[in-house]
Parts: sequence; structure tokens; C-alpha cells
Amino acid sequence: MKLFRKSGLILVIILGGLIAAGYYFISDDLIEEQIEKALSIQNGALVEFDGLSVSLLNGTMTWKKMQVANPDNVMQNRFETTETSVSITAWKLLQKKVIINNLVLADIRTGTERKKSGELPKEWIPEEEVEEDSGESSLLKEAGDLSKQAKNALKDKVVNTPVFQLANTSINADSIMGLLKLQTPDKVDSLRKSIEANVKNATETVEKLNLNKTIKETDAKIKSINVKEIKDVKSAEEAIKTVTELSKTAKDLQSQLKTAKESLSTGISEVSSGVGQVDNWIKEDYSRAEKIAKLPDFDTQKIGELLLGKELMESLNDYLGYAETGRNFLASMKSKDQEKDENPERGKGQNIRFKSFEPNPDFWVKKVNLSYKTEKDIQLSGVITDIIDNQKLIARPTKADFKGVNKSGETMSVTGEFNYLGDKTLESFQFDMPKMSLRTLDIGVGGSLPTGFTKGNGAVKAVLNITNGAPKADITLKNTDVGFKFAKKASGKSEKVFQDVMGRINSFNIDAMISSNSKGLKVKIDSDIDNKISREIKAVAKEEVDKIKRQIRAKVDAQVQAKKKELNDEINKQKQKLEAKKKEVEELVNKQVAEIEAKKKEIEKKKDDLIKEAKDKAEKAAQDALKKGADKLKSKIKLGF
Amino acid sequence: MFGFDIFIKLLKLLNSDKHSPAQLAGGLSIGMIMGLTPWFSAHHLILFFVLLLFNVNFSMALLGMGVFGIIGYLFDPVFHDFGFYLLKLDFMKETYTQWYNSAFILTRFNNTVLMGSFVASILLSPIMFPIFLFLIKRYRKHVLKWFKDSFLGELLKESSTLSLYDKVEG
Repeated sequence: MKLFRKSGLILVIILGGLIAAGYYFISDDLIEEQIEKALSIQNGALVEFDGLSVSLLNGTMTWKKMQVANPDNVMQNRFETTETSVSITAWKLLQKKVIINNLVLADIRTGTERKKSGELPKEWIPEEEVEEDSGESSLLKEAGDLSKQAKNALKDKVVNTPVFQLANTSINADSIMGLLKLQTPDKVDSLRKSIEANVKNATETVEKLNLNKTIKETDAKIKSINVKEIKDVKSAEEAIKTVTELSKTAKDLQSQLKTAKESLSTGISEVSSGVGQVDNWIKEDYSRAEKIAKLPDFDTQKIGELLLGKELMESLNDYLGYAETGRNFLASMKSKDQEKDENPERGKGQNIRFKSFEPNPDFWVKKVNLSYKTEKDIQLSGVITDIIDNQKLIARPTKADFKGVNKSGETMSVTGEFNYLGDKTLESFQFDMPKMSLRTLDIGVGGSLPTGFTKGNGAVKAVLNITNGAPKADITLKNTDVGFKFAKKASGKSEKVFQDVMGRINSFNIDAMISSNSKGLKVKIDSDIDNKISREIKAVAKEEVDKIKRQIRAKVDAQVQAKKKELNDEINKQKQKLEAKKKEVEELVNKQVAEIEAKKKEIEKKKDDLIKEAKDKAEKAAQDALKKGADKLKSKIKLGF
Repeated sequence: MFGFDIFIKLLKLLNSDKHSPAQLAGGLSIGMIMGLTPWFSAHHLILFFVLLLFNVNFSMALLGMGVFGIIGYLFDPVFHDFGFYLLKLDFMKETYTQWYNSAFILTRFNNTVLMGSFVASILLSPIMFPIFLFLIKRYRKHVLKWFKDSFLGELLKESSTLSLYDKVEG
């Protein structure tokens, strides 16, 4: 029995031939389908080739057209290429691995419309993709809306900015006076009535004392005492007694006078204090008028944000968009650490990886030479290296290095790095544009702010780092030789002043910083233009405000001062009245007291005279009596002797 | 009657003098390897060419693939564990790494089920071949003779089926 089968040998040869022929004729289609599927899954939307041809012997792959659909808009391509030739590691395709050594992509067109939807077939969508969808990139998604949020926020700020309140609102003294109901005139009237009541009250208090009647009665009593008719001491003493009683009455009058004076003085004092109150009321009216006018205080941190905040936010959003595209693409290719699969599908088993002498990823584009024109007419060309499913296999991050030039001939450079080597993912971008014409910028905020620049150059530097999906960015724009452009000529004085102020500024810097924490993204925009503008605007606004304040004061004064004068006149009149009354009463009482005192003195003198006279008479009588007695004694002595 | 036909064909093969027990046992052994290992693997192509080139019985190979395919499916977790053990052997690591970095990777040797089942079937084949040979010989010596002389055999001879049996007897 023969060991070999002759017919079998012939069959093996025939089969081998058939396999070779089949491979030659259908390999392109098989490989095309395999590559399309692999790339589509990575992209998240269809990647389609037209006219793909693979030469396994030469290790080249060429195609006439490649379309990469946009997962966010499946009726649009992210980009499409024309005829392209690629160097590949051919035998890896049989292993379902795509290793592209060098990919040259030129004449790329971005954002082209698709005839058919670029949506992934359901059977191609990896299950875990759904789970990973709401993962660490949430902050980036949030950042994706950043531009929209920033624009809305800026719009609000435009409306609320004092410059525009000043420029757009017709603030004038008349309109404020129309809104303002002055309180001073009413209060003055009220005070006036109060003063009148006080004066009346004080006068009545004096009247109640009935001084005139008392004085009259006292006067009558004084006059009834006729000193000449007093002939003896007894009569004098009786007169003195009467006068002393009158003096007592006079003292009572003085006491009453004191009370009356105090009442009048209080009245005068209250009247005088009313004047001080009026000044306070006027101040309150000024204050209320100013409040109604909403005269602005300036925030120094807004103008720069308004001017170029939108531009910076849009730039930042672009970078975040690139970062998100890159990280999503690379994240979808990440390999997992290999542990034993305890329960693999029957017949499928588990593929064990070993250290590769050459890295052995499933997908690896070693180098892409890319040149294309962006939607903003910027011609970009550069190199992307190591687009790979597992960077750890090659211990290198994915890097991008691009140089660009826009239609004005301004150059720029963009470098990017997607680093997934460590525990934390890190995507970083740097953008550098040393000279950018500001004339092409459309600030687009509107209102009274500049709409653009008539001249000027800006130097842009942007650094964006995204660690574990949390972005941190710093964008600096240094502007020199600046001239601002306004949509219309200044209509109001405020606008004119603002435009003049802007015209004096020829350089400014603006810095946008974005950071993130557990609460979300935080955006801060700083600029030295804020200080420059706001300093000037403040000065101008202060003048404007002072002028309006003066007008308001004049208007308030016009209404209030007349009342105040009336009040003052009234007060003076009332004061004079009270003073006169006080003087009158005082004079009356004092005159009465003086008269009583004079009468008293006169009576006392009369009394003294009468006493002296009586004394003299008594002495003379005693002498006479002594003389008569002595004479009588003498005669008796003579008769006896 | 498909199962019956196969049974009849099997009887024909076993009873035929045209096919030696070694040819039959060889075909069955190759079929066992192909059946135990996952289908459409690279080594299947090689084994298929072996089947064509060497003078072994093709039908027995198909029978072996079917029967051991079912057994292989049942033993899949065991092959996975065995394959994982083999692929994690330290002293083989260097060899595996070299294979992994060459076109040999196309054989999918690094798959646990494939490695486990392939090594197991290769190890089993030198054991199973003599066993298959012994069993076929024993069949021809004892069972075939007993069958012919049995009441069932006599009965079948009279029926149309018996003529079929005669046909398969060769």
C-alpha cells in the first residue's frame, strides 16, 4: 500500500492554485472591507474608500478617494482625500491589524457634504462605547458649549455695562425731576405750620399771665399813695407796708416773666432748629434724585472681555474641539490590560499578548504628512506621528506639529500631544501666531463698543492642557499699534467720549484663562485695556455725573430754596414777633418793678424825714422843759438864799 | 435516513478489505485533531493537505471531525485553561515572543482555546491512533464475523436492506 496518494497531490496543487487566484482577485475587496470597518469603528462614523488597491508584496495601499464621515453630522464628511498612496505592513492585515508606515494626505477637503448617511451600521457599534459615552469627557462636552455660553454671557454684559447705560439711556435732570417727587416743600410747609403753632402757643402762654391787668392794678395802687399826704410815721409805715406788698407782687411778675421768656425762647429755638432740618431734607432729596438717575459706578474688568472675549472663546473652543476629536479617536483605540478571561465565548478563547520586538498594536499610523486648507482659508501642513491604539506599546505619545499660513500671509504654528502613557490622560496644545492683523477680526459685540480694528497687530500664544478630561488653558493676545473701528459715529456725548478714549489707546494685552473644578468650568478674562479704558471713562463719566448732579441740584434748589426762603422769612418774622413780645413784657414788668422800688424809696425817705422831725421836736421840747425846770429851780434857790 | 446512511457507510468502511485498519485509524486521528481544535484555523489547511496527500481514509477523518468537534465543544473551558497555562509557561515565553513577532502569529497560536486544544489533540493522537487501530482490528476479527452469523444478520440477508448490507460488505 502506498503511503502517498497521487490524486491527492494533484488536488493539493489545484487547490493551492485556486487559493492564490482567489486571493489575487478578491483580496482588495476583503481588505477594503476590513480596513473600512476598523477605521469606521475608531472614527465613530463610516470611513469609506473608493478604488482601494493593496499590494501585499510591495506593502503599498492606494485609493482614489477616502471619505471620513463626521459622527456629529453624518451627512457631512470630516474630510475627504483624493488619490493617495500609503506604505503599510501588509501581512499584518491578515492579522486584522492596520499598520500604516507613512501616510501622505494632501488636498484634503473638510466639511464636504455626503450623498449617503455616514452612520455606523448597528452591528459595528461596540457595546462598551455606549457605556463610555458619559465618562471623563463631560467637561470637554461642557467646554464644547463654552463658546455659546460665553457669547450669551457677553451679550448680557453688553446690556448691563455702565458705558451703555450712560450712552443708551437718556439721563437728564428733567426726566429725573419728573420721576422724583420732592419732599422738602411739603416738609417745609409742615414745619411752617408747626412753627406757627409753637409761636401761638408761646404767645398764649404769655397772654395767660395777664401781666397788663396786674401791672395796671399795681400802678393804680402806687399812684394812690401820695407821699406828701403822709404826715406821720404811722402813715408812712402803713404806706411802706403797702409798697412792700406791691414789691412782692412785682417779684411774682418777674417770676411769671421768666416763665414767659422761657416759653418764648423755646419757641424761638424750635423755629431756629427748623432751618437745620430743611438742609437735611434737601440733602435727602438730592440723594433720592441721584438714586433715581442710576448714575453708574464702573467695573474695571469688563471692557476687554467685551472687546475680544468672543474671539478668544471661539479660539479656545476650536482647540477644545481638536482635543476632543483627537482624544475620542485615540481613546476608542485604547487597549485594556490583559488578565485571564474566566469565561470566554465557546470556541473563541482569549488571545494572549507577548512582548513585541516591534510594537504590535491593532492600529498604528506611524506618520501622517498632512496638508489642507481649513474652512477659514488657512493652509495648514504638518506631521502627525504615532496614531496608535495603545501608546504604551511604543512608549510614545501621539504628536502633531503643524505650520500654517492664512490668506494674508500670516504664519502660525500648532503643536499637539495626546499622552496616554501615564495613569492620567494628558492632551496638550500650543498655538503660536507671532503676528496677526487685527483688521480682519470682527468683534461683533455691537452697541457702542468697537466693531473691529482699523489697524493693529496681535501676537497670540495659547496653551491648553487637558488632564483626565479637565481642561486648563491660557490664551494671551498682545496687541500693538491698535486703532479701533466703530460701526457708527458717536451720537451722544457719552459715545463720543468713549470713542475718543478708545482712540487714545494704541496697545493692550488680553489674557483668557480657563480652569475646571468639580463644579465645572471657570473662565476668567483679564486685560490691561480695562484699566486704561475705565480710567478714562470713569473720569469722563464722573464729569457727566457731576454735571447731571449739578443740574439736579439746581432743579431741586429752584423748587426747594423758594420754600426755604419763605420759611426763613416766616421764621424771622415769628422770631421778631416773639422777641418783641418778650421785650414788651420785660419792659412792662421792669418798669413796674422800678416804679414800685422808687415809690418805696420815696415813702421810706418820707418816713425817715418824719421820724427825724419828730425827734427834733422831742429834743427841743425836752430842752425847753429842762430849761424851764432849771429856771424854776434857780428862782427857788434864789428865794431860799 | 441520513443517519442510517452514514451508519451503513461506516459499516462499509469497517468491513471493506480495500481500507486497511491503519488507513482508517489514521483518518480518524487526523479528524480528531481537526475536530477538537477550533474550526477555520491555519493548521486545518495543513491537515487538509495532509489528508489529501497521505493515503488515509477521508471519510473517517470527516467522522472524526464531527464526533470530536462535539467533544471539543464540551471541553472548550478545559482547553481554554490548558491553553492559558501553556501560553503563560515562563520557559516558553521567549519562543512565544519570537512566534508572536513573526508571521507565525497568523496561526493564532496565542489563542488559549486553539493552543490548548491543538496541543491536547497532538498529545492524544499517538495514544488514540493505536487505540483506534486496535479497536478496528478487534471489530473485523470478532464483531463482523459475529454479525454475519447472527439472527439479525441472517434476517437482514433476506431483506432488501440485506442486499444493501451486501453492497456495503464489498
